[in-house]
Amino acid sequence: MALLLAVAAIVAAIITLVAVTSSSDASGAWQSALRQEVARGVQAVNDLHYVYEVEAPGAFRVATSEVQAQEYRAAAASAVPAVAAQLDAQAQVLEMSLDVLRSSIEMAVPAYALPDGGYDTLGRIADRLADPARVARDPDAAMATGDAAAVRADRLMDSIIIVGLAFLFGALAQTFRQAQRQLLAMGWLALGAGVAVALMGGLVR
Amino acid sequence: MIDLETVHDTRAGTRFHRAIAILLGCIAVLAATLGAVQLHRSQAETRAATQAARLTADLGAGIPVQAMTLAMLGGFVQDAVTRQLEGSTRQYIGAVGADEAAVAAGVAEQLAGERLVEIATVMGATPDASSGLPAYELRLLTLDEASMLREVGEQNRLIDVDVATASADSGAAVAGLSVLALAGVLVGLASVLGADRAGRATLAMAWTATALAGVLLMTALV
Repeated sequence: MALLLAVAAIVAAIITLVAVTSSSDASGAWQSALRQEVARGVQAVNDLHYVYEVEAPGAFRVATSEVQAQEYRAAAASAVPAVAAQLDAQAQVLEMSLDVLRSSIEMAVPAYALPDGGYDTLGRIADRLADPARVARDPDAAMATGDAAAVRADRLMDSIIIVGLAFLFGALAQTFRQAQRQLLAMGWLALGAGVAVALMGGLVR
Repeated sequence: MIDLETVHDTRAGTRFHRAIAILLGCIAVLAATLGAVQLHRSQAETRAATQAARLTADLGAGIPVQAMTLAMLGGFVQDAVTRQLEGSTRQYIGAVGADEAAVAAGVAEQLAGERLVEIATVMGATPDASSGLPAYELRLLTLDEASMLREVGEQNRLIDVDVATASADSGAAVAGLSVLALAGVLVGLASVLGADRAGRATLAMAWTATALAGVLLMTALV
C-alpha cells in the first residue's frame, strides 16, 4: 500500500513537472509568434511605405514628364513650323528634366517600364520583398509549435487524474481490509494506465 | 496537499478512519482534476490573448498599408486631372488671345492628362494572386473594410469571450485548489485529533471544503 502511494506520488510529480515544462514551452512559442507577427507587420509596412510613398510617386513624376514630352512632340509633328518650334522646345525642356529625375528614382528604369507608359509598382514591390537580405518570419509556424506543446501538456495533466485514482484506491485499501487485495490491484492498474496514457501523451520524447 | 502519514493512520479501519481514507482519495483525484483543468484553461487564456494581440498587430499593419495605397492612387489621379484642367484652360486662353501655340500646348497637356489617368489607375491597381507577391503582403494590400471589420470583431470576441471565460475558469480552478489545500490540512488535523468531538468536527469541515472544491471544479468545467 505504502509502495503504491509513494510510487503514485512520484509518478504524479514527474508527470506534472514535464507537463508544466511543456506548457511553458507553449507559452514561449506563442509569445514568439506574437513577436514575429509584430516584426513582420513592421517590415511589410516599411517596405510598402518606401515603394508607395517614395519610389512610386517619383516614378509617376517621371511618367508624367515622359507623357507630356511625347504629346508635345506629337503635337509639334502636325503643327505649322512656328508653333512646332515652340512645342518642340517645350518637349526638349521636359526631356532634359527627365534625365535629372530618372537618375534619382530607382523604380524609373526600363525593367519596370509599362508598355503604355508609367512604371510597374507591383513588380517593384515583388522585387523588394524578394530581397534575400529580408528576414523571413513565420508566426503561424511558431503558433503551431505552441499548440503542439499545449496539447502535450493537456494530455499529461489528464493522465495525472488516472494516477490520482491510483492514490484513491491505495488510500481505500489502507482502511477497507476485506477488499484490500482488489483495491490494491485496481490501484496498480490505475497507476499503470496513468503511466501508459502519459507515455502516449508525450511524457518521453 | 496530502500527508502520506495521514493515510497510514487510517489503518485502524474504524468508521472515522474510513471517512478520512475516502476523503484523502477524493482530495487526490480532485487535486489532479483541478490541476488539469487549471492548466488547460490557463493555456486557453494565454493562447486567446496571444491570438488577439496578433490580430491587433495585423490590423496595425493593414490599416496604414490601405491608407498609403489609397493616398497614392488618389494623388496620381489628382495630378492627372489637374494636367487635363490645365490643358483645357490653356486652350481656352489661347483661343481667346488667338494664340495658336498656346492652344496646341493646351491640347497636348489635356491629352497627356487623359493618358496619365490611365497610367495612374494601372500604377495604383490592387494586386491579385497573379502578382507574385508573398501571401502576407498580398493580403495587407487587398484587405477591404469588411475584412478589417471581421478581424476587429474576431479580436473583440477573443478578448471579451474566450479570454474572459478561460480566465474565469482558471480562477475557479485555482480557488478550488486553494480550498482543497485547506481540506488537506484539515483532514491531517482530524487524523491527529482522532475520533473525538473535535476530530469529527474538523473532518466535517474537511469534507465541506472538499465539496466546495468539487463545486468550483464544476464551475470551471461548465
